[in-house]
Amino acid sequence: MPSGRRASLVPDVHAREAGWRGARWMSDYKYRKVATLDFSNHKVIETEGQGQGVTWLDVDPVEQRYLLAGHANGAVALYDVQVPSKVDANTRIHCAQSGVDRRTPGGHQYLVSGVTWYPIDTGLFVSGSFDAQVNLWDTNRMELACQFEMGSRVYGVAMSPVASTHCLVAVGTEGPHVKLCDPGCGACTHTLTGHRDSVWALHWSLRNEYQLVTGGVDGELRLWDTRRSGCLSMFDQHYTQRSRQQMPSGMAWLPGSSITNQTATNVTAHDGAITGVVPTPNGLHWLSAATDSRMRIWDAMYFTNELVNYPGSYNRSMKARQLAVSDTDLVFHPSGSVVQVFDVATGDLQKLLRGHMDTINCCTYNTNTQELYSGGNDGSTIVWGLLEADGNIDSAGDGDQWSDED
Amino acid sequence: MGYKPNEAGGESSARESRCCRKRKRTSETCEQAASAAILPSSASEKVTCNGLDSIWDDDGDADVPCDTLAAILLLKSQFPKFASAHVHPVVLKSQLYSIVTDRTIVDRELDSLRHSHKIRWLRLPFGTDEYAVVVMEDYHEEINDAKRRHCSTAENEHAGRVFDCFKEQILSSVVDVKVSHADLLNLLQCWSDSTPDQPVEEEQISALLGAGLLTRMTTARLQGYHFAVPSAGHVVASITKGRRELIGLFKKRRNSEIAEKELFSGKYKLKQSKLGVRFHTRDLVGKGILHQIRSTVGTVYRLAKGGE
Repeated sequence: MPSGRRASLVPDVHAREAGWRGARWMSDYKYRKVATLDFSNHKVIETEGQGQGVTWLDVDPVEQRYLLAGHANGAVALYDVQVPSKVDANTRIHCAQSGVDRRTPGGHQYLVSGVTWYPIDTGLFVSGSFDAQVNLWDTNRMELACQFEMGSRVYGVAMSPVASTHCLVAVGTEGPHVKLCDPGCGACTHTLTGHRDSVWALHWSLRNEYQLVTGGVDGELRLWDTRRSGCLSMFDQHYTQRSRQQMPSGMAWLPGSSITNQTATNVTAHDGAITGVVPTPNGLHWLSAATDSRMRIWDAMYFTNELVNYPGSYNRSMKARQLAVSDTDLVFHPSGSVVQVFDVATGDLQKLLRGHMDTINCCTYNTNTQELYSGGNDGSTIVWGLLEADGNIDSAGDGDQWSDED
Repeated sequence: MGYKPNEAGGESSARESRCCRKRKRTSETCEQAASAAILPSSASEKVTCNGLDSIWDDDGDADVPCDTLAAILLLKSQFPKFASAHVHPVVLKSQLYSIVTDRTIVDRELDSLRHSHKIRWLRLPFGTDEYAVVVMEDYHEEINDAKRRHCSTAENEHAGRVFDCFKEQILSSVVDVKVSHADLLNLLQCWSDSTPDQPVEEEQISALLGAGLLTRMTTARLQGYHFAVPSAGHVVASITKGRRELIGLFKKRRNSEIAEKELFSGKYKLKQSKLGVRFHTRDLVGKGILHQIRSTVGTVYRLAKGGE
């Protein structure tokens, strides 16, 4: 790899001293650094023997150290992404620490469609599967702690990262309902009705612990407040200017009001099934991707379509596909066997991450180490990292290194 | 705000873009600009980016349109003439992407133009993200034509009223590509309040449907209508067929590529489309099915891998 691409801090510090960029210099520096993410030669996640496809990834929000990977054969594997299991010729190999599979009592029989950490502590995680079960696992003993029977395929699970008064697990199912399960009482407490088809994508708000956004196969993107009945608002792809009303007065669909009006039920966010929804790290915007090969960004306050065009975000997925957003305003969108890196604000394609041999299902970003993890149908989990400053590791790919060892 | 987009063809083509304004306004220079504007690189030099929020330039030069409107007018002036029917020019959204390279700017400026009633946005009856753009004055002419046709057959003297309502009330209230049945009835009701002798009837909607200004939504769960252009039937049929035929031409070639000079030399005639090679090339470039490659022998178009 050309050493010129290694991000150097010197010009930035110089620019700061000269007063060119003011307070933005650090975010600019981080942005350029993350934009150089590439296949990591010296950090490998060993997925051998874990089963076919990787379907969902989640990094724990507490330490950003443990990575959960859901697999297509019902297994869930746990990796430590900080401390390698073994080091082999400048390559740090991270093997699965532990995990559950279909032989574990209560384990999933079919594809694991979603895994999520309990946001407060790494002692617990939740997994949902196509066998209609949502399982709560004890991480230390790798035992089933609690099980919810959903009655139909589970397409996604989510827990609120900011909740302090509840620990509800939102579950998107094959039916048109979103269910909220409470591990405290071991039962389903809410059913959110409104979608007309399966719900694939769901994510809790980062700004309000009671707000949940769900996206369905019907192209509807809905915002729910768990304290109120009904849908709080829907995102409309044609609602673009918050100062203007779309309809003449009397029949206007006012964002923020509860949807009871007949006219508003025809509102869609996308012309295809929504495969992923994710908030930006400051919680002020939502990003959604769908099978109409478009990704859209929404204002979280006014529910307007911000009209950023992310070119070429091809998507023909048949189930949920995980998006990731970095803290430096870059969004990672899996499209076929590449991960596209877009600028959130302008929609410019910054980079294509090539390396997978088959369709990519999921990607997740680690803010701590500035790494991206992606998993695909080829069964591999790839680490996309920054170029490391260490000279030894940098030259690991050279032929000279090999001949020296011989 | 003095700019009127529906001025005579020669004048509007001379005003197409800022670069044209500075040149001699001969048809030859316009032709050069037209062939140059399809190149993203040269287009981006000429069609520079405005601020996102302002459609019009801030320098007081009020009759300079924004990049997107300039591109629309350019495409409009190059729209082929139909011998058989009186067809108003239709511009595809994907064609705009081939001229103004920043897609976010196109989307945002189109949205502003739509809300300021300068253009009308229409959904094409195929694909998921296919939109056509019609300049508002052209759309008004279409309505007038439709009204004339309708009034010549209808015996009722009030029959033409619904078209006036459509032009003045509905188009100004609804900027979206679709309108629901309830909203439409409501709007017609508002209009008939001023003329109480004419009750709102489903017949009025039928008249609009019959004239081709509205089409029924086929995918909707609720009853609703898409806006449409009556004379666009020829064009819509040509778009899909011509697209397929042009892709077929590329597939026959070695490496799936054709030089720009050869492509626009008049050697290639599309049998199933009257819109011409240039129209479809722009469309496919904007959709990402064709790539433009700059080479030593000029621009070459190549079919993208995995293209339709």
